[in-house]
Amino acid sequence: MRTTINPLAELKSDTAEMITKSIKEWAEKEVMPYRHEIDDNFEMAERAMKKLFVDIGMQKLLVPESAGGAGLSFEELPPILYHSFSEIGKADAGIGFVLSALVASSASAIGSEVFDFMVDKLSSGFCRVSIVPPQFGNDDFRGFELAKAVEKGNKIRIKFYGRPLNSGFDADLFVVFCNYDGVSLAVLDGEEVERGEIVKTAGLNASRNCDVRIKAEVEKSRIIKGDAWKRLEIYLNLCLSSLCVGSAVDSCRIVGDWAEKRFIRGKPLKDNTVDAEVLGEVAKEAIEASMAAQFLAKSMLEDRSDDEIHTLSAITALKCSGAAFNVADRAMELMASQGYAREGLLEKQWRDAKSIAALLNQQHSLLELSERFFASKLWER
Amino acid sequence: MEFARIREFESPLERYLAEMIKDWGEKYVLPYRREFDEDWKEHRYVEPALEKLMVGYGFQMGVFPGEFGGWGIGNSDYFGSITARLMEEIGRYDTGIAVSVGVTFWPLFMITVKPHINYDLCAEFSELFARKKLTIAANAMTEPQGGSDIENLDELRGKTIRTTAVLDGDEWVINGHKLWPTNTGGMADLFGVVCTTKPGEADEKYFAYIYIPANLPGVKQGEPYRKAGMAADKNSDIWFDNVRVPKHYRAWGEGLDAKYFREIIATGCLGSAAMTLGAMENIYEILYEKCGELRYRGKPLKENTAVAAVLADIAAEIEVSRAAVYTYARMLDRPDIYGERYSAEMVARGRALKLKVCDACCDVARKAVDLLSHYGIDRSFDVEKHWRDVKMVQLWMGGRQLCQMDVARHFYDCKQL
Repeated sequence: MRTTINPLAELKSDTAEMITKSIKEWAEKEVMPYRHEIDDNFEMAERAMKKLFVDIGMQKLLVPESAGGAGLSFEELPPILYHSFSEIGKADAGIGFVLSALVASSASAIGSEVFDFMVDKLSSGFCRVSIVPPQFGNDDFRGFELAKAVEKGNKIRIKFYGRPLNSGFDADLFVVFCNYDGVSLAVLDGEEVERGEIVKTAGLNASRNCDVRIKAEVEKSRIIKGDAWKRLEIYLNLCLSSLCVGSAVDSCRIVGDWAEKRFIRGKPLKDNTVDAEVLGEVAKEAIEASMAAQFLAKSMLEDRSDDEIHTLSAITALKCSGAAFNVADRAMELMASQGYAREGLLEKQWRDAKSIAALLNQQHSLLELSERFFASKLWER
Repeated sequence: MEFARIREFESPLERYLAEMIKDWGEKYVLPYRREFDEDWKEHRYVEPALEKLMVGYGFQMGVFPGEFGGWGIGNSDYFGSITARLMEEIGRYDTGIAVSVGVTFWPLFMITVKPHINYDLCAEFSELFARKKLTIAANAMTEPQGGSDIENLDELRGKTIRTTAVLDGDEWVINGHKLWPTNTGGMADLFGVVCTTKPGEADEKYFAYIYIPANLPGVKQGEPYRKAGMAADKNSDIWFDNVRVPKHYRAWGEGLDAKYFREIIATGCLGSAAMTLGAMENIYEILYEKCGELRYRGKPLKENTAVAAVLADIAAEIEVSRAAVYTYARMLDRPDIYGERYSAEMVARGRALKLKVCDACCDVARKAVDLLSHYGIDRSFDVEKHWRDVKMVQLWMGGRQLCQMDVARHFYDCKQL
């Protein structure tokens, strides 16, 4: 069975290979034996996350070598993220989702004053970063509401109530989209955030989320201005796209195994044309997603504008999350009850992929694309 | 808002039952529905709600003829319409409970629906269901080796069934292993079991449908499976090890068992479509509320044209699905006009209905989750529960692929599928 393609030559690197090997070992040891129960036992997910984030060092990819990190540059990062998140996605998309927010936030802070503050946190043990994106609400940022940021002397007062993208309940750092000097990111210590009760969700259970209330005053140095928010979204989209590629490939593997063993009408499922057509479709979706994510990673190494990459990343994330869901959803059709059962492992990929797709807010993303490609004046007042 | 309902199709009993279910659902399901997912094994919340409906409101006796203390749904001229309405209204609250109720009736349809009412078995089993305690039945079809092959009667004619029934004097001796029936995992009091009297033979005369009380020696129900959703529907393995039942526990006999089994395939398709219709209606109700509250681009979500277009698609699916469900239900009401319910034509129409309405429901649920984004995947808004639950309805009874084959076989006169 072959539901993957060889990666583009530009995305091959020794470092990526080394990290991917470590992640494979991590998945085999820390996730796969417990995968069917990991959603019911957060401690299992947390233990696996600690190993990945701290022992393997995924939370310190961007931390300078002087502070004990890998000190990767932007030139090295995209291929490594593609390979490592694809591998994580095969094991547990929820864990990858938590890591995506951390990596994207770190990438957005490089070169800013707040990066040192983040490095301290990332270097001092297991760390989770929560992204607080614009929310449904008033129309102050492309139809969404931003956290309010008001200057108060030398400080900035941040005020917000709503739901983070991820890990609101556990995060040590919060990166908040706020309305300071256009759109900026405010980096807050977890202690500056009041948290509600854990929200139960369809999937991504490694990311324990909750509504949060923020009333904090922070130094101006904790604000990242300019296009940092775009960089955050670009890296988040790359990580999530790659994660979804891994999820899709894993769903293909699961249904492929089933289609070999399951006999229907006297022959293996895969040898019945009605079922083979579905298998063909899931393979197509997975490979298309892989191609799209690789193209994004490769494009990020080229001399392209942030705006162009930002748009490309949004398209890729939509494509890959949709593909991961479609693969799991159609694979479930063939596996029927076995696909729907926890022990079949497919249904976890199905719930996780759907959660990522929903969080990417498809309708809004399509409007943004319309604005870019057709000059739609959707947000002009 | 009300979706299309053709009033002259509506039976007086149906309307009354719908009101009862609404009363039950608001009092005994909605306050506890968010607890159901964690309750998949113990049924501490599910079972009291189910018991209230079945015993408290009396639905448990619904299908038995009046002379046995039932409501006579099975010998009503509105059998299809009432069945659809029950599943629609219960599905609005919880499709897991809907299938639990539906599958309790399902094996009994073999012996309680006119013109094939088996009065001896009705007399015997009505006593079991008349008890003032929750009494549940299960339809044991699927086996480990062949999945939906059992239901694929037109092609395989029972050839792959491995659960055997051997006549020994005045008793059937049953041996076999079944997977996944609704209402198992310790719930069922009575099984309707698909067996073969001659393994490996593709001949419907060897297809046997035999009732097995769950408390007999040799019957074993496994632990319930953990699933993506549908917590109110318990499923497990069942083993029958030299289980002995009286000879007259076979529903009808050679040839007839397979014939009437096709009829329960038709009603199963109707029930599946109707319960997903109910789920769609509840999703609509939730969207109606949430898309008015949440704001985007300075106005309520629903007032944005991009969102309104998706909401319109959802409403259109519900409108058309309801029309389709009740059209088919009325066809099942009137075999004198549309042909026997077990005919290949009516089974194919049922398969087409299930295929279309379940797909529509999965699509509606998926779109609703996407529209609400953060709140779509939040379990406190119930949309994602429906999204997880209804997928199972699409998958069961052979899923999309068997539906497609039955539909193609009939509508295109295929001979080799």
